[in-house]
Amino acid sequence: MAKEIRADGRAFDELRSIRIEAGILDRADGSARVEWGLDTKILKAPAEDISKIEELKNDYYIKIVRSLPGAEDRKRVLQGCLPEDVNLDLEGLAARTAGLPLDGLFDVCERLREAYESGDKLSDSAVKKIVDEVRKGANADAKEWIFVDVPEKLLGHLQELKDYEVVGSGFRGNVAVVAVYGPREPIPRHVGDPYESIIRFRYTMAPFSVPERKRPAPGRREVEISKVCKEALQRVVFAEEFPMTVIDVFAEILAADAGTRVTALTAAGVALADAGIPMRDIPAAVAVGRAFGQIVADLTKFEEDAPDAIDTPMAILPGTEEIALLQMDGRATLMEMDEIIDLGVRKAKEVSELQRRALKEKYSKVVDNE
Amino acid sequence: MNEFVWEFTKDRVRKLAMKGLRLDRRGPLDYRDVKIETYVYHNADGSALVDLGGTKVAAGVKFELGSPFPDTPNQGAIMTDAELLPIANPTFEPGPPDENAIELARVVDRGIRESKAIDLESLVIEEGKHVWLVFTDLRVLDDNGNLFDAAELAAITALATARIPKVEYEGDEPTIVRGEYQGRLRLAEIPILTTFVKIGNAIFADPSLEEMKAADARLSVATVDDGSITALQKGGTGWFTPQEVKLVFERAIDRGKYLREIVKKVIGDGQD
Amino acid sequence: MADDGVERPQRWLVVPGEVITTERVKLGPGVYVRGGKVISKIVGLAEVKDGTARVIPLEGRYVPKPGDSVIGIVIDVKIPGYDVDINSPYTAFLPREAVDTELEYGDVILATVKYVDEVKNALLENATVLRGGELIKIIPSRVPRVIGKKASMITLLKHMTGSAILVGANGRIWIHGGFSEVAKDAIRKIEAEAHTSGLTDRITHFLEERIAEAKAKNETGESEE
Repeated sequence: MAKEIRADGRAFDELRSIRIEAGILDRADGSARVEWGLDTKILKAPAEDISKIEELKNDYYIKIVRSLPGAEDRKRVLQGCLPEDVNLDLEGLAARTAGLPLDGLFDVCERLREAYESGDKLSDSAVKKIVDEVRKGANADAKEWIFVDVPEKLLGHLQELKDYEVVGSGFRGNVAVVAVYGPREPIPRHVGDPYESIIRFRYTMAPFSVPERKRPAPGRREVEISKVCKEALQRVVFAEEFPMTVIDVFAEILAADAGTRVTALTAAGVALADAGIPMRDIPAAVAVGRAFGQIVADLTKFEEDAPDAIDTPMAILPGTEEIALLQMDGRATLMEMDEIIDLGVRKAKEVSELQRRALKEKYSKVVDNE
Repeated sequence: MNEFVWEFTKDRVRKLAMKGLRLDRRGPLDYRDVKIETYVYHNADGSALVDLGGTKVAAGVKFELGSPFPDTPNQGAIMTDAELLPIANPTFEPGPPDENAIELARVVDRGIRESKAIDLESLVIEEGKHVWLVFTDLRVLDDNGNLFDAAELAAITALATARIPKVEYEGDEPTIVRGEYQGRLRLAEIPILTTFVKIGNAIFADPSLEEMKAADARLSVATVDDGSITALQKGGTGWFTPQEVKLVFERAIDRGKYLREIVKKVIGDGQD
Repeated sequence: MADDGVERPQRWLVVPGEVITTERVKLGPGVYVRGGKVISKIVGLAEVKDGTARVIPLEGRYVPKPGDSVIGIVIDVKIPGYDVDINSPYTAFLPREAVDTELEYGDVILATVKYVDEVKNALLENATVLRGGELIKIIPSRVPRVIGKKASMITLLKHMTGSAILVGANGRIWIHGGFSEVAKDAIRKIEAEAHTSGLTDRITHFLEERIAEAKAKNETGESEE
């Protein structure tokens, strides 16, 4: 793997794309959405190149999003959708339908079924005719291609992908929606603190936010994240101005790709400001660490899974560089950690710029533009 | 809007309803603006985000492998779950789904299931052993009334644009290759849920949050293209007369067609 | 943005954490000091005028101040008086003697804030009940714009729409009669454009157009009583 670029084409200290919008919800007192991830392009490649692309997948963060069923798969599909008593050479049919996508297989099945049920004898030539017609049909295009999802930044770097046609674009990253309610009176009243407002943070993940469906109920990971986020925010807010109240921060992750808690916290900072709650600063978060021998900023899932990965989520108050959230897992030398901390502070300031811009954009209509 | 303003607004809504008028000046059968986005959450096998007059619901479809139920060895299964996130409304509390969330999930599920939009037999990988379990999860993000219709639009759009994951075999055991797909989920129908509220003697389609609060009763009707009804749910403690119910049926079919056109446009032709 | 001698606009948009000035100034609302710098606490318009630095909020709930005229809603009836919601994190209290009729849950009142204690609970007095009409809510910090310099904006609204309009410092506005729909829309427009210039002219124009439209459609503009 080339050492100048990362598995997704970024430089070692480069953040992914971060898009922030403030005030996106009507009911909440304050809200924000953050999309934090890689913009990708979808390439169309000939099916025969699949092994070459599979190899690239080992070193680079690319995904094959649409590929074709293999012979074994085809046989099972055909077996499943054809009537039981049909007398057909399944192996032969599976071979004949090579290169057809799943929809095409279903089409073939349907038509064979129809023919069979209306009493046609499914002779060899009749079957061939049906398969040929389906090939020529709407899915004719799909039959020879596979589709590969590639981070935009990587495109220019990989010669192997140069000649493929770009047929679409995508996004692979974190999507967080955060709502703030408050300050409001706590129910029951006795949970209130007579000296200051209490921040409550609830981090949840949609079942479809991760590759394997996650059960809706919050698990231990969510509880821990909620705690460290709440603690990161408690003193940033001028809580002493609102005794006997609570400020509720609800963060929902709709899509995840490493860095969900920093995405949630970054959004929470914006949402709190959007709610008009007085704060010392807007906390900005980022995850830094190491992957494949390099100290890097903003790890993707691919990098988090590296054998030598160090993952350090951090949140800082940009004005003073004070660290409000810090966690780490991995194995690092003291020198590496120093470097990681410095990188984190530097990158969090970049995130902070984006947060401020998002808030100002929301109000550009209310005030005269400068 | 502060919850305690409701009493005051309820009165206003009811007074206007006596003249057949609505707070936001819509006609009795008008739906608010609908915006539907697809392919929004990349880890979902199908996803949609619906904004219906400010009500926002996100839906995601996930395919998982499972064994069929013992009495239906030749069928896969669909399951629908909903959460009224505390994000959406100051009165929604964190915690497991309450009766409102469960009712929402079950009504949306019925409309889709009973319409036979998804052929459960096509979800079989190996009869009696391996089938697809299709989960649709609804996450309510903003409540401006009529969560039911917004949720069903999100669910059906997510399903209509869902892709079936690729499966690899290790001997006889199938495993899902995450992130890779092999074709679309085929829907035989596009069921649409339409909700009407009764305020006094007036019947209004697509109730706003204020109208939901002021309503005596609501009736949700799921319909398919040929005008058949595939699910009904009456909510609230008030009553409908048989005539009113039949009137709602007619209107539901009409409004269903209107919304179905919007969904079809969004789904488009349907290749990647 | 904040250094001495640097040209800066009268008011400029800031977010929490932004430095407003390093000059020695008095501290108005919305700011705090750290390390010799005056820093914004909120999203708002920063201003350094007459030796005072402050930030005018663009968001936020109402924080009660003695003397404010507020529109509240009765949310609880107790023996000594009523709990009143005034669009603030804290409920206000209205003693029975301070209102001349019996109130019920949901009643809307206009009252004055007599006193605010250390935990921001407000005591109300001089309450009158408002019947009929309708209530809208705007962000409290934009109320001054709805009222206008020397009440110019509110007078314009009332005059042109013929509606009775009461504006609470807590962001609640009660509208009754006249072309109330037009009045509501105009107020929303003022809220949305509160800090732009030329607003009065635009609102005058808006009112003229919308009222002409309403007249043509034969809307009596009577709010339904």
